[in-house]
Amino acid sequence: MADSSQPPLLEARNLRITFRRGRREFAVVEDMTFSLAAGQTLCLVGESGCGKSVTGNAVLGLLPQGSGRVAGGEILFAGRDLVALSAGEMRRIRAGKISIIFQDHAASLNPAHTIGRQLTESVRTREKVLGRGVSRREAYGESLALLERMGVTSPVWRMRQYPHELSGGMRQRILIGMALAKKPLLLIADEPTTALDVTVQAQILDLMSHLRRAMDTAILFITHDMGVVAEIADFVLVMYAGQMVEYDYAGGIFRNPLHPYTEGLLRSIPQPGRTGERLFAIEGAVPDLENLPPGCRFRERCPYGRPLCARMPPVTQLETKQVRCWRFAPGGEKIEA
Amino acid sequence: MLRFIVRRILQAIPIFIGITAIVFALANLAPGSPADVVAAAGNLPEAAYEELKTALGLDKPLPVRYALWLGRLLHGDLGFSSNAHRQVWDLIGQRIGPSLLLAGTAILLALTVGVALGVMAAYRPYSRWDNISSALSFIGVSTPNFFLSLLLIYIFAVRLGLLPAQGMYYTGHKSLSGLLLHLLMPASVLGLQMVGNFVKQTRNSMLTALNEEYIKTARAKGLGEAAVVLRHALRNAWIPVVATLGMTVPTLVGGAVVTEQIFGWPGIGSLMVHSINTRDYNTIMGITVLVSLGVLAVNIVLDAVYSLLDPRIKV
Repeated sequence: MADSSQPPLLEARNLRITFRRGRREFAVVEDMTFSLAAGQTLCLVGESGCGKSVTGNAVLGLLPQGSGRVAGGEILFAGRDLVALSAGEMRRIRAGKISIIFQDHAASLNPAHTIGRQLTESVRTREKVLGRGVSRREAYGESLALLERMGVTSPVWRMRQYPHELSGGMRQRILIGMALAKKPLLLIADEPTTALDVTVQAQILDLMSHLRRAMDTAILFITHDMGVVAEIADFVLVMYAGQMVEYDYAGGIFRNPLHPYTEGLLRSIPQPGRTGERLFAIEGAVPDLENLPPGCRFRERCPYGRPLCARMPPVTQLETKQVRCWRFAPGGEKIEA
Repeated sequence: MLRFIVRRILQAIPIFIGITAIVFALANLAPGSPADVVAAAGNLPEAAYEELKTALGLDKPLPVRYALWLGRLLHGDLGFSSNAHRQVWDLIGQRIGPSLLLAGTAILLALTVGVALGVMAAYRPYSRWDNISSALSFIGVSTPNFFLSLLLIYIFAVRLGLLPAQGMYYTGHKSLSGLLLHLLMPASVLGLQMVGNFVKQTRNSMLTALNEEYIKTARAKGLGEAAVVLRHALRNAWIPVVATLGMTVPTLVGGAVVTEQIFGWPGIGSLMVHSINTRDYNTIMGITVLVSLGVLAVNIVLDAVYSLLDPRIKV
């Protein structure tokens, strides 16, 4: 889908990611196709375990070593297939082109190194990989400036502190700072606000959209929070059990959700004022990816389920939207009848 | 930090008194005394035997003797060796250097090899390296060191004639190369005995560290694998290894007794064996003081080191 006016910076084509457990290999992401242009934000949305984080990690080759791998398709970054890169080439991409921010700010910073050391390490790695040198002092100055831009108070002091001495919001700012130290063209944000208080969450989202405007960075934002999506997304890709189920402009997703799962997600957001009503929840749970039933993966939880859904629905293009559901597939009705 | 160290030193005092009291009792209650050793050497008249016992202070009851010994210790007096007829301080002073050299080399060897093998094993678990290193540590831990010593002596000294089997220097001239050649076998035996613990601890804590999120962060920064493994993972994997180091020191002392004896290494271990055989109470106690103070001090230092390794630990 996506905007055709700009060439995409990141493009996934028929991406298939598998995990191995023992001798069994099973797909956790299948047939994922999406694209993202500079300065845009694409939100990958879905429940835990739907494959959204795995997709984000796969872009940087950060799947669990030995068990996860990209088994098919390609991930094009500025036209180059990231899957086919050598370890050294991938390091160059990581050091200076694509950054990632993880959800768990407490675990994602090394507890044994000071903030200053971890920040300057990002700056220095970027310069080293680009074949330039940077002195310790320059790297320190740049790191300090980054902290200031992240809105970190008393940055000189923070540089000497260890991660456990900081609050969650501070740590997340540091992680974002580390990610931006690389002046990335693409920022992958893997639930960066999930573990934060709402007020801090709002500050972090503000900071990210501000930085995106200032630096024209593309953002692949992974979240399960439709409230966050509403705030930042240009495009939304809804995932369910490792597949894309709906993909559209943010407006199209919110105003005209077609897939029953998207519909359910939107109805699950608590509405102010509507007290006394039972909060809507999608019945059931995500199917086990190791033992997927044939056919539509949402079938068991779908209020519109019908016999046809025992077959895998095709992806249907409807104007700006792609949706994987028999209700909107051409001929879906007829086959049924 | 200073308060912590002072507190730990105060805690160590009762432990130290306990150790020395037990060793003092065991040594003195064992059959035979320094007087008996002298008596056995020639036919000593009964009167002279009693006189000797009085002169050595052996006529007093055990608790009194311990109290007297402790009192002298507080003045820095370890007493007189009944066997060597010299101050115990002098004897120990002469032997401590070789022992520290042997033990230090062994620890360094075990730590370097153990940590290196452990890191490689954790980086590629169940690989060939992992199997080799676990086999090596299993052999090291389970082979009695007297057996290993004799095996090495047989192969390298007797069969191949490459290494000297006894002593610290070639007779006649003291050279560094001679020292190193003499050091090689006993240090390897002692080190191999400990290497398994280091391999196992390093592998375990590296496996944990390598699965942490900050390792993913480090890779995502574009760092090379060496920096990821050494700078980020190993840095956090040190604590259990250091703890193992602390627990290894007593093993080392025990191992040194056997190894020094077999290789004729002029250290504390062989002095210990000799002084036990001759019921040289003061020397036994002097060595006990030295070893227990050493072990206690190492443990206090290592506890302080934890807080340097992990900033989250406050002491």
